[in-house]
Amino acid sequence: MTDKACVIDIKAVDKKYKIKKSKKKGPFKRPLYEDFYALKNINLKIRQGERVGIIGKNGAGKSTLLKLLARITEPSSGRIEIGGKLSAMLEVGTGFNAELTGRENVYLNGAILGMKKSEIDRKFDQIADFSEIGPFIDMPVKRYSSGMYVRLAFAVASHLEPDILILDEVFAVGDQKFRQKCLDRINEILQGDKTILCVSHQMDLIRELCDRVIVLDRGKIVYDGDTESAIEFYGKNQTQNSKAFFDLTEAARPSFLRQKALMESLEIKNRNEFMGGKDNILSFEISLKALEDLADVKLRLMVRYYDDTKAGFAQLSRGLNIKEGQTVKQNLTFDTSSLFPGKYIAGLALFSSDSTGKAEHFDYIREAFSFEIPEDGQADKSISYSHRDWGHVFLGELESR
Amino acid sequence: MQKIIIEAGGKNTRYFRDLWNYRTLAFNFAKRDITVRYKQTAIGIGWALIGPLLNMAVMSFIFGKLAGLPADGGAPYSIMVYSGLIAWNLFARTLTVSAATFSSNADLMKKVYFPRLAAPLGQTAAILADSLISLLLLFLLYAITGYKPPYSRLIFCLPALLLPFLLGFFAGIFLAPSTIRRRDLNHALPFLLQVGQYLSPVVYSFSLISTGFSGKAFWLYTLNPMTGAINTFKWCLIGDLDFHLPSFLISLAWIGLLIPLGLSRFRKAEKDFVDLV
Repeated sequence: MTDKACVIDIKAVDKKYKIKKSKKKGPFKRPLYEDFYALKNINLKIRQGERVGIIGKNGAGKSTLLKLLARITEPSSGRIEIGGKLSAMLEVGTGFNAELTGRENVYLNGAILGMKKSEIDRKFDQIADFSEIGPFIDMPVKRYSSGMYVRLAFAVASHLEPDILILDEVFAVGDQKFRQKCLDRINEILQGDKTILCVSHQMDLIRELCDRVIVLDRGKIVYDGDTESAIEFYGKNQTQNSKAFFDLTEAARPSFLRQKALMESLEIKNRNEFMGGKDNILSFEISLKALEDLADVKLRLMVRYYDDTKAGFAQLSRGLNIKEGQTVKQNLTFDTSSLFPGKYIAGLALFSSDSTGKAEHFDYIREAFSFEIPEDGQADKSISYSHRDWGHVFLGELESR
Repeated sequence: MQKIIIEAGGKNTRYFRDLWNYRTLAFNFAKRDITVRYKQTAIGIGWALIGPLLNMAVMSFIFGKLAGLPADGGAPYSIMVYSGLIAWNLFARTLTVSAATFSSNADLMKKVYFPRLAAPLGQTAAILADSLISLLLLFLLYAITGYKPPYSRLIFCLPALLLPFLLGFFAGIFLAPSTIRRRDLNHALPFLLQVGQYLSPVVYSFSLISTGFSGKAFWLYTLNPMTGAINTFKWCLIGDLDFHLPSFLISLAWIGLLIPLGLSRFRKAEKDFVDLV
């Protein structure tokens, strides 16, 4: 591999953003800013034909790195050399216009991705074929189902002929069958010594596409090696950061949320016993503050495995009544005995629902805290917990009668 | 193999070659704008005609009939107003669209690289196409009013349209970086342009100014880049008008000034505007 030409050479690249430190005081006053490094001193060489995956937590700098390579923004310092034609699929369907027909959008989107008219003319039939849109190709895309929309968008993007292909979570949508078709198509593109750079939270996708994986953490490369060892490193690295106290006031909320309550903090009470495997009941205290008078407030705990696949949920269905401005500390326990060993991320939702099933969310945090179910020391070592194949939940011992 | 070098504050020496390679994109932006603008309308592209036509009717009535202002060179008032409006609308719309290009295309620019100038180029080309359609209607007006246009210089109206177009485009991309962080300018522009329309010989004749004002006031008026642009355009379409060379040269000088200013300001902003929106 080392004798191949180097197609991407990143030297000492920093990317600095300015983060607002204080609210602006008047209409013409400038707010105070402080520097935030999304990427710090990145050095990376990628040779022709390598299939490189980039993994890391949200905010680790993965997408920023891809954006620099795709020339959407430029580095604050350092130098990047790219040898060859580079195409980026950061989001399929970018620039699609709902009013235009499928055919018109193929031309528009093709041009946005850098294709020439003659090239689109030549590939149009292939693209239409691949998308399985059939006669709907001459209908406005606003009448498409979301599946058709994604298929057409991917079809255009996948008919680029780059030397280097950049993918950013493009498989988040689409049904299983089409997803496989996309993967096959990407493997087809990659024939003939093409290079790929791929960001994903889906480890199975990384396993399937990549032969080298880079782990990013807070803007730095912390691991660079073969796929399996990198994924293992990433998983371990995640668990080392396990904390007992989580400040939730600054946690990310969805933008559409109309917050009526604030989940302030969460503390795992029995962290040491739990992590040591002595206790499989997770006991925690959550502190909530109501911003309005709230009645019948329920709490849902949504559990996902660290690779972002859903595991299940737990719920406090007995509603709480909280007065405006009042802070409530609630002690809760969560039985984790059915979860496979591994690292989990939990989200929290405060909501109320009426008899028709309509729910209103008062507060919602997708990633509130994390915990780890340790490997059971007594367990049969010949069984490895295959999260990918079996899911994350153990439904119990089979009884013989 | 081509080698792309990305550096902090680096000069992209191949910018214009890149832009040329993305001509398909600019063309598709134009096509998109034209197609989408008149989708789901009964008379389609007819709306490109009705707007200026109604405007012309109102203006001719108020300024020509009620106020009794004289038209240029003995032409019907409607023809003078209409030709003024074609040039002014082209300028105003080109400026508005290219000044707002970063915010109106932000979603796209955050996801894909292309030379950012391709967006305003394509979008304003669509406006130029609208102007050409409105120009066709002018010939219908000639027929209806029975006015004999100056056939020998009629053809020059096409290059003359470039004056308002280039002024609008380069002033627009010069202002575009100011609309990234704060959108105030996007709201202020319509008012400023409305005032500007009355400070340019659009709905009244230039002779009204050249005879009514003298000395400093007249020269101040002529310094307005659109004065020369509209004068020149009207000169191509209306006979018995003298070519006003000073205002034409002033317009050219403005274009010569705005091209380097606009390009350098736009290209400086396009590099990292994605981080600011």
